[in-house]
Amino acid sequence: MTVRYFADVRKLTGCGEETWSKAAPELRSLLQGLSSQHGAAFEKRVFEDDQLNATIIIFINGRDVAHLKGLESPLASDDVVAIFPMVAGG
Amino acid sequence: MNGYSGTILRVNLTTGAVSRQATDMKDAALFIGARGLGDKLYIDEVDPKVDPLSPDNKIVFAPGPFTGTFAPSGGRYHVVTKGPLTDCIAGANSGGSWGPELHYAGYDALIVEGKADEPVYLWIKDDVVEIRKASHLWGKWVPETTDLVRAETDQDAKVACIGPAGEKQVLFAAIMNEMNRAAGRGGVGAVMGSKNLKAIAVVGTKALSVAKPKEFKEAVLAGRKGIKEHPVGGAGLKAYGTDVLVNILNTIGAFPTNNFQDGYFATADKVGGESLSANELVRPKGCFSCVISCGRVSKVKDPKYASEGEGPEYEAAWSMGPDCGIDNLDAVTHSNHLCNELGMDPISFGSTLACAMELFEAGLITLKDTEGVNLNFGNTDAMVEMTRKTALREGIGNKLALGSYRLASSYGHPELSMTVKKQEIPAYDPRGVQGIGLEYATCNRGGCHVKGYTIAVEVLGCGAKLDPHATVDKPYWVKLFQDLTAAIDASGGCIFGTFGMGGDNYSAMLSALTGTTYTTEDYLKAGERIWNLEKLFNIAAGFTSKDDVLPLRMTTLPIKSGPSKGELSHVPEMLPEYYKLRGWDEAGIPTKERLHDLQLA
Repeated sequence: MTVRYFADVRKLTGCGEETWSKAAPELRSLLQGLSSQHGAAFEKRVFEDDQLNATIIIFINGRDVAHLKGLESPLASDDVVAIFPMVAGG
Repeated sequence: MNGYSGTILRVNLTTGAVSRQATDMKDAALFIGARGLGDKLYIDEVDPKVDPLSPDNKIVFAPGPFTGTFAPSGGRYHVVTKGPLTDCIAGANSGGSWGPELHYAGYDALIVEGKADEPVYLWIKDDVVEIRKASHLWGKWVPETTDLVRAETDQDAKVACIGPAGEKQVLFAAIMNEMNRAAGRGGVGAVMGSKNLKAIAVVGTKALSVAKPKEFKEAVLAGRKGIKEHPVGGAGLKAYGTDVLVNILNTIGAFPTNNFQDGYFATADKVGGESLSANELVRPKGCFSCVISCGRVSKVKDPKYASEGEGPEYEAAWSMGPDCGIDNLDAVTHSNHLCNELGMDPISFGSTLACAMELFEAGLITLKDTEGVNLNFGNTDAMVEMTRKTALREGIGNKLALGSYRLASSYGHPELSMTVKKQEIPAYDPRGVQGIGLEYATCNRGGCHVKGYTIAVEVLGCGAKLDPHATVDKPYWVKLFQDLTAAIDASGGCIFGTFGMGGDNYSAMLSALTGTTYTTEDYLKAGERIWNLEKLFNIAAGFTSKDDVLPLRMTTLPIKSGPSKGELSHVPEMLPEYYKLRGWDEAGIPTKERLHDLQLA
């Protein structure tokens, strides 16, 4: 699947996009795998007490996981996952 | 009188008369200031049927109680008039330091009426007010005008002025203060131009008083703390500016592309805030008493588009970028600098150009019309060229200067104008985000996002997380955001303060500042009162519920690609509930009972 990073999350991954081909049946597994790859700072950014950090917004194919099943949202190999910090503007 | 200067300044440009009146403190308590008090002053005096560009129209400049205090991000002023683009109430506010300076000069509002025989500017230094000749300034761009006026008055004067776009009455001309801050929407700059008023320079040396200094300080510090600790107000906006929204809106497929023919743009990242920060950002910049600093001082190094200035904001990056099929950030930033220097709203300009591009690709606008310029989507150089031509009303730019509704209508296709009440709708596709569509449709100043920014809860998860595709409860949220924003506007605050502060913070600051107790409910009710006052003006001007609609495309042409593929707007289904929540009848007319409750009848 494709994983995209935005704003200051990019600074933690060193890239704007990468392909993830390891097993990740649901979002929690993916984020744990990404945390292993990108380190403790990334893990702290996305997890908060084993839950999704409240200052992170994650979309699977354009849908906020808050409207899916959160960290238990299922993933497929052709999904696009986008990880944002909380941002705003107008 | 705490929080207020106590005086309204009036300048009649026809007669040259300068007069003053006391601020009506009963009105101040009900309408707060800035947008609210400005609305009240304007609506009490002007016939709703007035031609916006006639001498009979007036234009009000009003700071709010916060303006000039150290309330966080509380340095804004509001411009109120009837908009030439929309023919409805036009309110546009701006930051910088001009508003505080007017308040320090001793004025809660400046009312300008009539029309000067020749170009003039106003020079206000506390109690001394002069109408000075400005023929030598006519035709000058905003930076040179600002420099010249400062040289003739005071190098520390704060200057609000129009550029060539305002002089030539481009219907979406802006008023620019301190060169790069804009009261941008609705054509308020054209109203200044119609009055031959080139600029207003202000120096103020007086003080504002606070009713309860200790409580005010505590409320301000609590508000500042809330903003600084918020991930958006405290860090995100300063790091990436508002343009950071490009990628998130594109990710959900609600990023209007090619004049809203689609909601997804494959190379959007090239014009996003991450690219802006990496390539063009010189430094973040804040307005008076700002703790956020969302402003972008920017520089384009590419020799072809080399320029320096400020911006772009998200809306401008979108309108002159992907809405025109363009992903060249250097060109977009350059055109944004041009819009500032020429004094023109980049949202309406870019969206009008996108409309022209669709007309061109449909064969309705021809190469003869454009004097040989290819107006296909994606033509970056044409976009830059049209920025200048539109502000100067040269060639096809003379038609673009009328906005997309009048442009498309002149070619027999008004449905290709993406407007509400003839004002171009902004950069959130209402087919992919339902609540913001209802805000566009019902906003008193025409298509606008900032007067009811439900994107905060529908997309960004600030305060709540609502499904953007759902319609349930959206009328409630739209009304809540509209009322809160009206109160914040009236206070002289910046809506970005809501990324860390709530109604309780604002009401606490206002209460301590003015000495009049506002509960959070009182504060919201003041906002609702302002909203209804504006609505009554629009009804008297001839607007009906038939004007509370989105462009036909939003309810008939589904988004073609991306994550929101197949989505349409459901504003017609949400509108009856919105009217009901507002206490309006089925035709969208405020009931006598509601108006009585709001002390408007």
